[in-house]
Amino acid sequence: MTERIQSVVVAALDEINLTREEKIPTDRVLDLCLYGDSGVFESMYLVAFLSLVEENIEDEFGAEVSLTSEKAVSRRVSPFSSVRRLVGFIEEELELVGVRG
Amino acid sequence: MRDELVRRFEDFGTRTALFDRGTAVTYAELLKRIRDTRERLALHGVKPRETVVVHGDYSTDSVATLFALFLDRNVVVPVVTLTDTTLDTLTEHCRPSHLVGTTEAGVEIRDLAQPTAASTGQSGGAGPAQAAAPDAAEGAGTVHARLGDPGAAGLVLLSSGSTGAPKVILHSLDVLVGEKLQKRPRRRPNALNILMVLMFDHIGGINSLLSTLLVGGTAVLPRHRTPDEICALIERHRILVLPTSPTYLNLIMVGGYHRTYDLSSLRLITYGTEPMSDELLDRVHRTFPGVRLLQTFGTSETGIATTTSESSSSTYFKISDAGVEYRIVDGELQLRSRTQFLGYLNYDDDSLTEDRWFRTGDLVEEAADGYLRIKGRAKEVINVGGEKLLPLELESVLMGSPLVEDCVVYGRPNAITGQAVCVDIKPSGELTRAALRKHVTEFLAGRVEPFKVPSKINVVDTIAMSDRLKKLRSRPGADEE
Repeated sequence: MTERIQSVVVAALDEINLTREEKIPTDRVLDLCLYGDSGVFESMYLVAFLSLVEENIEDEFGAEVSLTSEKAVSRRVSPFSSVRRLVGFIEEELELVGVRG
Repeated sequence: MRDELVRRFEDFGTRTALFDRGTAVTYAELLKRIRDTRERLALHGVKPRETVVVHGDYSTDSVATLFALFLDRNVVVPVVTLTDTTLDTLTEHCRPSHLVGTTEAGVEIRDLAQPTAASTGQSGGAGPAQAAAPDAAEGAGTVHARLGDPGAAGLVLLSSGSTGAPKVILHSLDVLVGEKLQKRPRRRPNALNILMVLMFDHIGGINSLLSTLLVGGTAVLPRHRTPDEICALIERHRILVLPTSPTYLNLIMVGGYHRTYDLSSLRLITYGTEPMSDELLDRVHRTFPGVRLLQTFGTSETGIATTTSESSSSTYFKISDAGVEYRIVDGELQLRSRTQFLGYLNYDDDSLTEDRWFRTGDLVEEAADGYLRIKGRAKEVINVGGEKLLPLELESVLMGSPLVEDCVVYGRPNAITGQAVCVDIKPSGELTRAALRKHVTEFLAGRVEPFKVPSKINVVDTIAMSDRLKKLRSRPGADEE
């Protein structure tokens, strides 16, 4: 399941890259920091990116998760500090709604 | 005033007052129906100054009942869709003594103070009425007393608030009728032929009805309000005036009904109830080139103001009504009118300033020459991390895309930027969400600031419209009032 989630996230990054002049590097994608000091997104674009991921997750797993919730932003270790953590957070959220790998 | 109204109806005599389901009803016939209804109401024990709910949409019966109750100095509560919740609200705050049902089967008068077998039957909503029975007479007196004039009739309207119980708004019906009686009767019959698109329980609908009948015009009553039926009626009755809303006009054009039917009789289209975008107005103007387009403005609380549009292709308008004063405070339009409501029966009057101006909740801009333009509702402002956007602004741009048939923009809360911009789009033709998102992103690039680009795009089959003909902007999870 981790891999499936990961490909959903990467596909979203690829789609965003289509319309960006400054491309987001996806070679070491798991360590890519999404938001914060070295993050690739400003807050507004982060929300758009997360919406896209939510949408693609819904298409892939048939379940809705929220990535912009209070829960997501109040984590001690932010799910936006790397793609790996975002994938982990999505996996937990999917398990909560009964989707298992 | 009552004598003047009856005299006018007598004078209009054989002119057509109403077209009800295709049948012409003359003023003489309407007057007779009003007299019969007064007798029936009296027989059922309806007393002056009691509050009476009139359930039903426009029909000869509902119109006759409205005037009968006006003449008898009652407080009238027109309700098109009577749900249990609505009846509960009315029972609690208006204590109606009777319910007059005006359906195709005819008129049924129910005594809410003394429930009968019929009232406890399948029609529903009898429970709350029974519970309130002992206080009905006393409660009705209280509502009438708030009119401050024992000789007046009242009108109660329910606001279509998106959240919570509807606001119960009390007007003096005498004041509303009195305003219209100041207008001189039309000399020529059929000089004013108007289609009642707005509802019977809506301030705009009541305003259209009174404006038409008190000067001897003809009101055409639709049974349904589909664009198809409305356009068929325009063709059939050679309608001159169409009071409507931007959303509704878009539905007519998108459906091509202006091509299916002959709408060449139209002389005036008035639009109100929600803001009009420049893009849509431009399209309406091109579609109906010879028709004058007029922005109307009003609220359930202040009544409908007489307005003048700068031109048929301009969304700027002036409030040109001796009975209405306006001012703009912090971008919001405030009104004080002769036809102002007397108060809410179930809410504090917190929408009134200390000096009794009504806060409309509409954000407007004023041009140098006193023309106003409505930008949107204050509560609909979307705040994306401190940057603000009004839905109409973005909708107007999006409607310029050939792939967008209609759309609705709204804010959705999130924990990162506070709110995010979302849009539901009904595409023209088949499009996947991914394809539409790509198109929207490309289309908006360079046209709007980046924060206005929706972070979420949904493909929908229909853009929902309220029975007030407004786009429904309230979405699950969207910010509420």
